[in-house]
Amino acid sequence: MNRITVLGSGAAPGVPAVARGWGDCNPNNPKNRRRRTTIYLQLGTTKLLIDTSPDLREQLLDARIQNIDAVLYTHAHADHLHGIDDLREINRFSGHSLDIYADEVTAGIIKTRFSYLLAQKDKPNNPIYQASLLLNKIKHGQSFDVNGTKITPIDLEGHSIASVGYIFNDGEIVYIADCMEIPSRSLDLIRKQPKLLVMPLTSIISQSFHLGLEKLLEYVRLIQPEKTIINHMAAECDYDHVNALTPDNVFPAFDGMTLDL
Amino acid sequence: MQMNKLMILGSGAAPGVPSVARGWGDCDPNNPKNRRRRTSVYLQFGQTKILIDTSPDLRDQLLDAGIRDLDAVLYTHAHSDHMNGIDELREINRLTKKVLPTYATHPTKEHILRSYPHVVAMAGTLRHTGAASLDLHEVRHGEAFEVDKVNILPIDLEGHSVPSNGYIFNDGEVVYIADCMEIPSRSLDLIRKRPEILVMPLTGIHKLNYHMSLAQVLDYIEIIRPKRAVLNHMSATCDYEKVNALTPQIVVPAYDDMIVEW
Repeated sequence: MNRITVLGSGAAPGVPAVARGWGDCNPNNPKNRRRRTTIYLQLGTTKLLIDTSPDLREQLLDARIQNIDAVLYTHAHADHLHGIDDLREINRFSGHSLDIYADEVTAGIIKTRFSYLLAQKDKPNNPIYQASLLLNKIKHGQSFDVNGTKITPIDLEGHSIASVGYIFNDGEIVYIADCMEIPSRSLDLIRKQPKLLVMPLTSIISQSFHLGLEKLLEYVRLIQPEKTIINHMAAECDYDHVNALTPDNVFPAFDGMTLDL
Repeated sequence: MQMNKLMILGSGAAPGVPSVARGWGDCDPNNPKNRRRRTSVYLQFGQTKILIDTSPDLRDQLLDAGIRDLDAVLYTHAHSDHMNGIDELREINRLTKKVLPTYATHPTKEHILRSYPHVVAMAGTLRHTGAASLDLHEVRHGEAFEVDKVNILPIDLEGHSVPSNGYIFNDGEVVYIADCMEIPSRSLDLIRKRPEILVMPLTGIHKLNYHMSLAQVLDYIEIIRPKRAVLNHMSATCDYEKVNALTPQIVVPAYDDMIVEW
């Protein structure tokens, strides 16, 4: 059984935002209340988190997640990274270290900000008092395996910091993080029709460092997945409004959204 | 008369209560006062608005408390549960359209500069990158500074796993102690009057690595003799009613959104 759970569907400020409140979002629609980006993926027996938002603790509690096999990072922005310290709780629960995967830039920032969380494979530490994360560096196109799931990191372009997406099992699921463009060298690595594509929106009109809905839908037509989830939405993106602007097989995400694949 | 207010935005230790691994621990899940976010504290002296620490829960904390502007942020130490909400401060910048004065002692400031260079304002000007714009000031033990008319004195604390400091406001009107094992006498000596409020960190009832026990906390309360003491930073081993029963009347355990006025 494969399942995705969107633990946070919001952009960095969340919805409502401290400064802008609900923006264009209908406050009476609970689907518009958005934490920041964390995704839970179950692929067979493999349990993965993509990113660790500052809301991670509440997200793990609400989804009752206590055990995962690995964390995949897309980029080193606070809204995708700053819940990393709460992975200590995963260590405490499992009693062992946890593999995390990140590209050169993201790994560098994790080392700078959170060196105390990092363990080494040959020198296990005590995960009761300290997080115990094993940092694995990844590169575009170089697949790795977590518990039988094949994962291929792909370059994304045009965000304000280096960002990567992930292809699972040659294209069964494709996860795209914050970017302006998916380069063709990355699209070429999708070898089959995805059952699911996850795309970041932020706002309907393209902003600096984020693609807009129009370009997003172009990529959806190019990749031709069975279903698409639109994630990472700011207060400009009302759920019903986005839903009305998108084809039948494209769904705006909401916190707690679960899809069996 | 001037209205002063302290609001506990998060009363929990690093894992919060309930915690992902241990759940409610010794805490009664039916008591809403046991549901604890991580440490951020809001202090208001008249019109002056001060935030101590920025927990990862800061966004929810600012939203729930309706806080939309701040005159200063004070850091106590560079642990994730006190700092990882730092990027949320950009929402305050967006509202005030001003850089936000931020104060930390040398090791904490160095950690911010090394780890979060993107939130530090250059030459006191607002960043246009969408990141927070913090005007970062280094403060020293025993050297007072002012935010509006509020006098703030950083004091050394000892024995935590990273350097930590507390703050004395207006010569002792409010004393805020962060994670530590000991308050050295050179810091205690700087409390010049009987505090209206003393905030003390607890974590666990029994002594832990880097955190003092309830007995030690109560010893310091006897030495400092505040009118009221608030116990903050409690893990799942600290049930609200149990801690309350173990402490004298002037000592109260904190809970999220607790407000003390004087």
